[in-house]
Parts: sequence; structure tokens; C-alpha cells
Amino acid sequence: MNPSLTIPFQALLDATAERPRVWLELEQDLTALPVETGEANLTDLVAMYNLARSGIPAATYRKTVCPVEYLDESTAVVTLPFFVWPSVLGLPYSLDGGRAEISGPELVEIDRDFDLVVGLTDRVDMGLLFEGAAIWQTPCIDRYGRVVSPPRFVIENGQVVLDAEVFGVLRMTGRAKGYRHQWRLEIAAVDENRVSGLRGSVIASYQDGGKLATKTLDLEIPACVQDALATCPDDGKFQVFGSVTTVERQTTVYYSTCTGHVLDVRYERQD
Amino acid sequence: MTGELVITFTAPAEFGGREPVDALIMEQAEMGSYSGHVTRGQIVGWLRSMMYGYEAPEVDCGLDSDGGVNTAVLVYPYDPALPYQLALSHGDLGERVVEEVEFVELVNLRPDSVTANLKYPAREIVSAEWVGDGYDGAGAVVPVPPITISGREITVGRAVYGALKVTYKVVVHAYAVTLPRRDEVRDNRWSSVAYAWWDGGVKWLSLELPDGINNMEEGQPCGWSSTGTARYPDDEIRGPQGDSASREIIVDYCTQTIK
Repeated sequence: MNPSLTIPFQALLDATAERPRVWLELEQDLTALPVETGEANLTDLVAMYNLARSGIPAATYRKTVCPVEYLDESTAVVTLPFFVWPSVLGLPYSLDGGRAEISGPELVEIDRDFDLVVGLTDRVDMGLLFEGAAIWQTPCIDRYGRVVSPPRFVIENGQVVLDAEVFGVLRMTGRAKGYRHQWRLEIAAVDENRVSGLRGSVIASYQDGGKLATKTLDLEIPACVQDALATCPDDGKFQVFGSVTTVERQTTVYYSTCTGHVLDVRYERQD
Repeated sequence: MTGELVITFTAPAEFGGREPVDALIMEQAEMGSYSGHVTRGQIVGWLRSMMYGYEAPEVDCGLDSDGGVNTAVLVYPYDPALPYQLALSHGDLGERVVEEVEFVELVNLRPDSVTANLKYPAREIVSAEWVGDGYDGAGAVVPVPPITISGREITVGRAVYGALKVTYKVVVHAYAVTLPRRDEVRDNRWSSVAYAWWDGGVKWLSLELPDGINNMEEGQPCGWSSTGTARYPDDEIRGPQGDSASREIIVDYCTQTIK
């Protein structure tokens, strides 16, 4: 028996023309954050060890590679890059970084290698404009669990469009096109709450079919930033790394401009 | 323009009129909590080893000695005899290991439904007991209804608010997974998808990788950054020397904060 359902309808004449889909994705440029900005690693350990051997508490150690710059003792700047991946280059969009400034767009092409899961569908969004090659990593399987011939597919407008609905995994190798911006936040030392509760986000607005659409990106702020922005206990100023290099022994001494404590000593070997 | 749209329900003839069937649950075994991180405890341990010569703690990057990631995929078939196949888009899959495990689950029941689901398909119910009273939609205490459990589905005689503590046994098929590093690619070097298929359906699971693994650079030892500015201590003594044996580092056991 084949039951049927009858639905009366009234077609919208202006809806018959298919519009190209408009989208925009945001992504933090994590490649711009050196590994050192994350959790402690053994390089940090050695620096802490050197501090301890020098008679300075290892707990005073601060990472030196961090996306923070100091304009002066009371103002620091945190800079974090991020990508805007539009469905088409030239798509008009605006960015709101709250208290942070957003730099102008820089057109970029980034090498990308990634797996794309085709999940019983005939169309997969990649979330970025992509030019390159795709190779099946698995057999193609239909929704009934049968292995079928791989369908033909094309890569267009940030999507992979297939001839049939299947499951399979494609390995994508190529280049993504989009824009890079810089999120730049100045922080004053007088507001300790801002430093301890540092958060960053970007809101992108664009038009999709005449309607305003938005996307929000919460930026990952490396642990080292808040660590570096820790205020001095007495005067509320930033803990700035100063350095003095002694020429004869090629030794660099890093110290806190807040407290005067030596933070690290680097000695360049003379061959 | 107006008209009528006629939709006829017909299961695909080429599959004998049957619909796709859900037949199993797939999960990945959990990574270690600290996999991919150098913990403060390890840092203190390393300091201790360098200062006093104790054995250094190992850092867990989630990698084996060949640079591959080891993990496991767990399959919970609704029918333990289900014939299915499992494969990976990248990597090697070990033999199936069949185990029976016991779960204790707290199931919340709602007054708008007489059914609820266990997380896994039960092969045997060890016990099922109400935790506290049952309540009706107005918040009044009502007698708890009888229950029946079959597979994953719990059926209660009457819809109530309440919580049920169920202890049950489940058959799990465990497969060891090794994901070798793809040397020829730029990023996502270990990414892989596990997929299972059977007569009537297919399921897949993108495998999670240890934290930070995609940030590791070529030849970088576990736990070390390749571009750090500090160097391993050599026999040069740096800075003023004190009596290291007299120093003490106190770490809060709960927060791992160095005091």
C-alpha cells in the first residue's frame, strides 16, 4: 500500500528563481599564535629551572612570546588575527569588535589540508572558498548500508556538490581564499577587572537575500596574555619585561619593571 | 498560481521497501585528561629531577614512539549478533574485543511522556529503582508507576516527574585504533573518521585527537616547543648561585597552583 498526502499550495512567483547562497564564516588565525603562547611546555620549565637556580622563585616566570605589546607602563595592546571566509570575494560585510579596533581586510590565500565528511547528503558546505583537489578516503555507502560507486562531484562556491546522497570522507587539499583582519585591543592598567576577565569577540554583519545576517567569533585569548597582563601588586602597573645585555659576557638579564626582580638570565655561549 | 501537491509514501523498491535502520552506537574511548599538556605537577617534577636527580616525569602528548596516535573505538550494537563492518578513513583498526560492561544511569522521567531512553542498549537489567518520589504536572506527590525496560526503551505505566536509577549490562565491541602521522600533508595529519555499515544503515564518528597535536612541528619532541628562546641547561652556571637544597616549592594539591 502506498498512502498519499495531498497538500494545496499557492506558489510564490518570485521564489522560483534560485538565488546563489550567501554565507560568511569567521575563524581565528591560530597559526599566528606560537606554540609558546599556550600551556607551559618544557622550554618554560628550563627557564623556570634557571630562575630557581638563580635564587628567584620559579613562580615569577612569565612567557616572553605572547601577542602583547606595551605602549608604556600603563597601556598594553593585545593583537589577534582572524579570518573572514565569505561565500564570494567582494561580499560586503562589516565587523564590530566592541572596544577593540578591527584592521582593514587583507586578501589571503591559505594552504589547507582537511577531511570533509559527506554525511548521507549530496551537498556539503566547507565554510570557505576553496580551490584544490579532493580524493575519496573511504568507499561510498548509501543510507541502506550498501557500498556504491563514488558519485561524481564538483567543488563550487565553498561547497562540494555530488550526484548522489552518500556517506564518504574526502581529503581536501588546496587553498582557501578570504580576508584576514587584526583584532587590536588597548588595555589600561588602571582597570584590573578588564585584565582578569579579558574576553574578545567579533560580530560580522552581511546581507543574505535582503535580510541582515550576523556571525559571531569568540576569540581564544592565550593564557600568556592574562598572565603577562597581571598587574603589579603595589602600583597597579603592568609587569613589563625589561632587559639589559652585558656585552663582555653576552648575557641578557630580563627583569620586571614593576618590581625590579630578575625574571630570567640568558647567556649566549661564545664559541 | 494554485494547485495541489501530491506526495506518495513509498519506501525505495530497490531495498525491498524497507527503511534505513539504526543498529548501533559508536563512541571513542576517552583520552587522558592531561593528554597534550605539560601539567604544573609535571613541571614541578621536572624541576625536582633536575635539581635533585630524581627520575623525570614523562609528558603525555598522546603519541606513541612512532609518532602515531593511539585511541579506541567502542561499538554498542543493539543486537549483539548484528553483522556489521567497521573501518577507518585513515589508520589501522585492531581486532574486535567483546566485553560485557555494567552501567549505572540516572534517568529523568517527564510528565508528558510514558517513555524514556537509556544511553546504551541494555542486554540485562540488574536493577531499576526510583530515586525519591514521583510527582504529577502540578507538583503533587503521586505513587510511582510500574516500569518495563526493553533494549534502550523504558516504559512507565503512567507519566510522572521522577528519577529512575537503572543498573544494566551492555555488550561493547572495543577496537584499538592507531593513527599514523601523514608525513606528506601540511595539517590535520592524524585526522580520521571511523565508520560502520550493516545491512540497512551506516554510521560514522570523527575521531578526537589529543590537544595541541596539530600545532606540533616536524621533529618536535613531546612537550618541547621548537622555537623556544630558552635552552636546555648545560654545564654553564647561570646567574647567582644559592643553596638549592634549601629551597622549597609548595604546590596546592587541588589547584596545582605554585604558592
